[in-house]
Formats: sequence, structure tokens, C-alpha cells
Amino acid sequence: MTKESLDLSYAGTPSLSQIPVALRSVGVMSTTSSALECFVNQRFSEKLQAFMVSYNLMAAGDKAVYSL
Amino acid sequence: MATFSSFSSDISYTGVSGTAVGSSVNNTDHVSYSIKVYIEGVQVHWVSISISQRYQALPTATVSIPPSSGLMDITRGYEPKIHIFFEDVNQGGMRLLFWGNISASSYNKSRASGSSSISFSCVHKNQVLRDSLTLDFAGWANSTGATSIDGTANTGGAAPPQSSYNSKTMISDSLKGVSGVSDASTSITLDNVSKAHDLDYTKIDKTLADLEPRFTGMPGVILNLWNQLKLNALRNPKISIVVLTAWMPLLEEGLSFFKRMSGHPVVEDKLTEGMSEYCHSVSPKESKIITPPYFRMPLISAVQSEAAVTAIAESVGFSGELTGFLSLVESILEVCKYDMQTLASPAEVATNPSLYVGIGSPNSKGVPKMAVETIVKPRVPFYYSPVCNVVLPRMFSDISVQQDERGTPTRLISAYKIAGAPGVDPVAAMFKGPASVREAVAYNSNFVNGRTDYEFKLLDTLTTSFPIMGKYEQGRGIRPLQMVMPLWLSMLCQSKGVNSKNGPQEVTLGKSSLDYRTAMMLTAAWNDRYAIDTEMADWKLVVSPNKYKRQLNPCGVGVEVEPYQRLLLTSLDYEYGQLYFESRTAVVSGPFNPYIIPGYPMDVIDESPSNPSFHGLCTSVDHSFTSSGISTTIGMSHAMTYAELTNYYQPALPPFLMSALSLVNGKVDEEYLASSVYGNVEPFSNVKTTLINNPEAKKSADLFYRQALGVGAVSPDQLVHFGSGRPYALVRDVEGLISSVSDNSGTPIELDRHDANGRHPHDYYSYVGNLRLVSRPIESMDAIKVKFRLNFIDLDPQTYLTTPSVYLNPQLSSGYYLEPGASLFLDYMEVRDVLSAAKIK
Repeated sequence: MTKESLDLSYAGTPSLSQIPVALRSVGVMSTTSSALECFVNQRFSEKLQAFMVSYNLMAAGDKAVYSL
Repeated sequence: MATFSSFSSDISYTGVSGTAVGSSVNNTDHVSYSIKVYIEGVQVHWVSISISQRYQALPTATVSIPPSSGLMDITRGYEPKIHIFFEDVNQGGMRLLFWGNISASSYNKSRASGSSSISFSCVHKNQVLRDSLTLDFAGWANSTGATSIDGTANTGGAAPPQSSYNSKTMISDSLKGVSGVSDASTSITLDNVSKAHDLDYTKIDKTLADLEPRFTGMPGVILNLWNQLKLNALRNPKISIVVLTAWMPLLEEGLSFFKRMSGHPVVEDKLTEGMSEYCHSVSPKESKIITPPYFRMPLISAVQSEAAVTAIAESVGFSGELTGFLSLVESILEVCKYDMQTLASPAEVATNPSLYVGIGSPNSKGVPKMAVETIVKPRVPFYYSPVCNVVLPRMFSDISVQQDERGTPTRLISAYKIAGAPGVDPVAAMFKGPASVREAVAYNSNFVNGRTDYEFKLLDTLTTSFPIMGKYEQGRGIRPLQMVMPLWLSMLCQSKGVNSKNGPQEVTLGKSSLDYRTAMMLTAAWNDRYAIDTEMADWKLVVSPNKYKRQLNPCGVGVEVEPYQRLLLTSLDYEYGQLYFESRTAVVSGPFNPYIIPGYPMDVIDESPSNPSFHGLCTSVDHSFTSSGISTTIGMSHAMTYAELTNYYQPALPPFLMSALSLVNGKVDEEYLASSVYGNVEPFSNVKTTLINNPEAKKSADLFYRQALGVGAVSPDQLVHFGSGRPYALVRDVEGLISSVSDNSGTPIELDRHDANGRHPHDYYSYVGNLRLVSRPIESMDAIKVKFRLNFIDLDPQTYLTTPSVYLNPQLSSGYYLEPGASLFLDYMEVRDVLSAAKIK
């Protein structure tokens, strides 16, 4: 979902993530965020993955110490 | 809408995870490890990592990563998954170092030092079986009849146990183990809820069929216990929702607890073969149960199975409390002197325990390989080390050894009241160990009663009087330690008194039986060790046999002693051996070593004969990864120097293990045996009981370790030439075994340390080469991806530097507020939808 009015400077928070298009397209991300799937079946949470990917982009961003 | 569907993992992986590096390829000792951390499957940068493994505990880890807003919130209402992998330069590919969940976080920021950090404390993925999979045992310990399930008493939402059985029945049923595989119509699953009362908990579920050879013996006992709990839930489905919808799929598939479990089949098979009769206290039907090694010896029959059941049921002792499933299992294993060791780096071995796959093995491709993450093992502290637990000279930089003998006792004493004839007060008996102390008391008893030296009686040593120094107390005085033996042994003493209705349970073994040969070998070994007189004077030593002392042998065929007393005396001697060597501990630190495993024996070899080498028990392994280095620190207990290995007998293991592991072996004159009197040890000769120069025991040890860890065993005399104290250079073969480089006389041969280019041409002279010699196959990332159908997202610039798309979390960006307890990153189902998805009728 994309909205032009979004302030992307807040990206990298739990509510707003940036995910590289390539990651979405190759289908490596989890396809569920169901609590039971993540706990009982030990699947990865898609929403948490989105957040962690976004975190990586921020950690490796222009003002970050780390690089990809 | 959030959904929940069934998931099933695979047991085996048939691929090849990486190409093993050939020997002597990189022996410059310049290493650069690749370590990757994944949180919820997404690789992240890390600042520092520490992984901690302890004997008899689940592994833990702490990971620090660059801080960011929102990172602390990931641990609210959910425990994110964390995987840590390293690149294994010996076996090839990325291999697992830790798999767990983030359970705690801490954030620190300091303006003064200009630093900020966030670190996550992580527990092993199986910790949830201890914390969350709880069982409510209200009334379970009631041995007089059925328990009742009172829903109001179940305040923790825990699973109710068997509703119609008491604790002793549940234990005796679990000791039947498992045999045979269920099919679709007989498996303990929701599909068969209508037949729940006819399902058999002694069958292995069909999803574990490939692992049937690994569930003999004690691992089968644990599986049986789980089956009983599942069956109870199936028989009461509407009040066992959490078991059916969460615990069963979580334990069996999500965590794949049983799919990643093994014992040591070479021992467990023999336990299953020797199952003994047990008379059920509830149902009159007699059944056969496994008697764990600690309670077994060849000369006693029914009493040993009853001892096992009583011991476990009384010692577990739950009564109205909540307990985790893992804790229940660990309590049972503790009584049996078994461990359940969880490996942070699971071993990748052939699913079929009779096959071997390892470095360079030509048969590895296409062979199904399982991950052994949980090992159910007997305690064998004084035994051969696995190859992976040898610390060679270039694998450690520092060693510190502490020894405090002040607390070491010279004798152990256990006092009990033995039931006598009706109307007569119980008689106090004092069991003493070790054997040298009992011998002294026997001498004193003869002296007081005017008997000659050749009338030794083991029963005389159980008296409470005759304080006299044992032979080896002459140099330290008497330092007794009163031991409280387990409650079950005390109960056995009271119920098995001479005049009780449950009198002596001695058996007469058939002379052609394996049990008789085992008993006679143990008797012969004991006689060689204790039934002797020594004359030590100046520089002279004269050893001569004293056949009269044979009457003091607690394992002796024909020795006058009750069967339960044999068990008690051998238990005491075993405990004394443990205490004697406990006084010495060590800490060894050095470069990264991913292969060593706590809970098994280990060796530390020093290159110089002027410095001691050690053999002991590995109790802890800690890895530390920072920007300034990668290191491993190892804790060791019960350390013996190699000099002691040649000069002392090792403490004995329980008699059954001595036999099952071929630690006691020798020659049998078959003709003489056939014609000899029952109990005559003369047909048995050249009996060996030590680790050194015992090829039959070493061969058994190779199998013991290869089946569970993927590498063989190491004998101390393969590592060090005892004549000179010099270590041997070593080479490794394709079968996971190492061998010493020596000449025909066994003298170590020195290999070239450097070639013309400055490299170390032989593995023995570099850190990298030493690691290759002791490496073991560890579960790979590729295997985990395939078996669990997980994808890991690498920090790949090609992927990350593409145009980002924006993802807006609808719950968090709207006006909807979450309840405390909810996670920001999970979708929840309504309870009615959960019940509907569970399809419980």
C-alpha cells in the first residue's frame, strides 16, 4: 500500500516500513503475520520482517556508520 | 483474516551443504570467519555476540546490534526468532551456531562516551517447552486411585495429565518405551479422536518412522510419556484445546523436538533387549519395562524393575503444582542418571544410525541426514572423549586449573534402618564406600569376633561399629561424608528386609547367558583390582592375589548379600568416584572452536611433556564475537592429568554400562566355562576395565559417538605416548576417526612443521589444521531452509539498493489501539475462529 502524502522520514518505525522492490519480487519474505502461525508453526512474521528490512536500510543509510 | 493451518517439517535433508576443504589447504593460521545473525529471518549487522552452553542447561545467547527507534518494541507480546550461523571452513557452507528467541532487550545510551547500544538476550528455541508447555499435576501423586480433573484448579491454563492413572502407573507405562510405528488410522491425532480409547501410546507416530532405530531405550520412554499426554488430551478434546491446537503442533512440528532427538543406540538397543518383567499395581497384567542402567546388574531380577519405577515415581513427586513438560522429563532422567543435552550446534548425522556421513565420505550425497539437537544420554563422566571434544595444542592459548582437596572425603556413609522379623525393632545398617574402607571394617569384624582373615563377609561391613582406618586413609585420616541416598533406595531397604514378604530376589543365571558372562567379567575385574594384597616397602612392590577378599565383592556371584544391597553398594562406589575427582576444575580459552560439546568427556593436550595434559568432563562452552576477536572459553570438571590416567583406575560406571559399552571385556575359555562350577571366575582371564589399551572398548566408543555426533572416539593413548609423555601428531580418516602418527614401536614421529613456503603441511601444527582434525558435521543453513521451509534474507546490496516500496501497517497507522499483550507485528484470530480451525468435535 502506498500513499503519496506519507512522510517517509518516519520510515523504519513499526507502522511504516520501506522494503526494496527486489525483495518483494523474489518471494523470500514470509507470507503470514498470523500469531498462531508464528508461534505454533514457528513461521516468520511478515510484518516484523518488513520492519527489520526497513531497519537495515536505515542502519546502512546515508548518515549511518554501517554499509551494506 | 489471520489464518492457522497445519505445518509439517521434514526430518531429513539429502543435499550437500558445502564442499569440505581439503587438508593442508589453508594452514597459515590467518583466519577470517563469516558470522551472520538473522532476526526473524532478516540478516542484520551485529556489534557483538556471545553464546553460552552449559551442561544440563539450554544454550543462551546475547546479541548487540546498532540501536534504532522501535527495536525494543519487537519483544513486546512476541519472542522474535534469532539464528546465528558461521561459515565452516572445514565442512563447507554456513552452519548453525544458535537458534533461539529474543526474550529480553536492553538499551543504553551515554552522551559522555558518545555511545549507544541495544542488546538482545536470547534463549534456545526449546525453552518454550519449559516456560509455556505447562502441565497441571493437581493430585497426580495420589497413589491410591484415580485423580480427577478439576477445571477450577487449573488456574494456569495448563494441560491436564492422565485422568485415570496415578503417577506410578504413568511412569511404569512410560518405561515400556515405544516399538512399532502407527499408521494413519492408529496415530494419536485429531483425525482419530473417535477411536481415542483404543489408540496405543507405545507406538511411534508415522511422522517419526524414519527415526524408529533412534527411539529404543530411554528416548523411547520420553516419547511414550508424550504419547500418554496426547492421548489423554484426545480422550477429553473439549477441555484440552491448548494441547490439541498449540502444544502438539508446536512440539512435534514447529520445534520438531522429537524429529531432532537421538540417544546412543549402541547402549539403548541393549536396554530394550534386556527389558524385564514388572507387575502393574493397577492392572494385574504383567508387562515388560526398560530398566535404566543405574538400577541394573546381572544378578537381580524383579527388584531392579520395581526399584526403577519406585525411584522415578517417588523422586519426581509432583503434587498440585504446575510444571513444564521439559522439567518433567528432566526429573525422570535425573533419577536414572541420564542427561538431556541440547546442542546449540546440532550434529548432522545420517538418519539411519548404522550409516556414517562425514568429511570426505563418498556416501554422503543423497543420504538422508537428520539434525541431532537433543541427545538423551547416560552419564559417562569417566569415558572416552568424542573427537570433537579434543583440544589440541594449537587450539588453546590459556589454561587455568584449580584443585582443592580439602573437601574431598575419604569415605562415604549411608545409614538405613532395615525391617526385621515381626515384633523386632528395625536393624540399623551403615553402608560404606569405597571398597578399601569396607575391607578394613571386615578385618576389624574378624578381629573382634575371633575369626581368621579368610572368613571375610560383606554383610559384616554393614555394621555401625568398628571405626577403623581404611588402607588409603592411613595418609589423610578419616574424612567421612554422610550421604543421603535417594528415597527410593531407602524404601527398597525397608521393603526388602530378609524377613519381609518381598525377600531376596537373586537370580541364578544360565552359564551360557550373556548376563552370566557379564557378571563373571565384572567379578573377575573386581577380583583383579581389590582381591589382592600389596606389599609396599622402599622401592619394592609385591602384589599377590587374596582369594578370601573375593567375598567382599558387591557384584560377586555367590557372595552373601541381598540384591538391593548390591545396588546400594555399587551406587555408593559410583558416587565416591564422582566426588573424588570433582575437586579439580579447569578453564581453557583460545581461538574459536565451534565443535566442542558440553556434557561429554574432553581432553586438553599440551605439546610439551613437561606440562600436564588433562582428561575431564566438559561443563561449559562460551563463544565471544566482537570487532577485536573471536574466542571460545571452555570449562572442565573432574579433570585428571594424563599421569593419573596411567597410575589410577578410573571410577567405575554402573555395571550395565560397563558391559554395554564393552568397557569390561576379556578372554573366555569356553571349554573350561562349560565344565566349571557356577560362580567360578577361572575361565575368564585378561579382563580389561581401563580406557587405555582397551581396543574393544574403544571400538564400542567409536560407534557410541558416531551414531549421535558424527565423529568417533579418542583414546588417551592415541593422543599421548605414555612412555615419554610426548603427544602424537594426528591424521584424520574419512570415517571420522583420528589416528596417531608413530613408528612400529609406537614412538611418536615428528612431522615437518613448515614447508618451503612457510605453510604448515600437516594439520597437527596449525590452529586451522587442529580444527580440521577434530571437526564434526554441524546442521547447515541449507538443511534448515529445506526442512522447515524458511527463507533467510541476506544483507545483499544487489537486493537492498533497489527502489523501496512503502509498507504501511494498517493496524498501527489507523486509530485502532492494541491491548497490552498484543504484538505490533502479529495478526490475531478471534477465539471462535481458532476453535473452528482446530476442527475439534
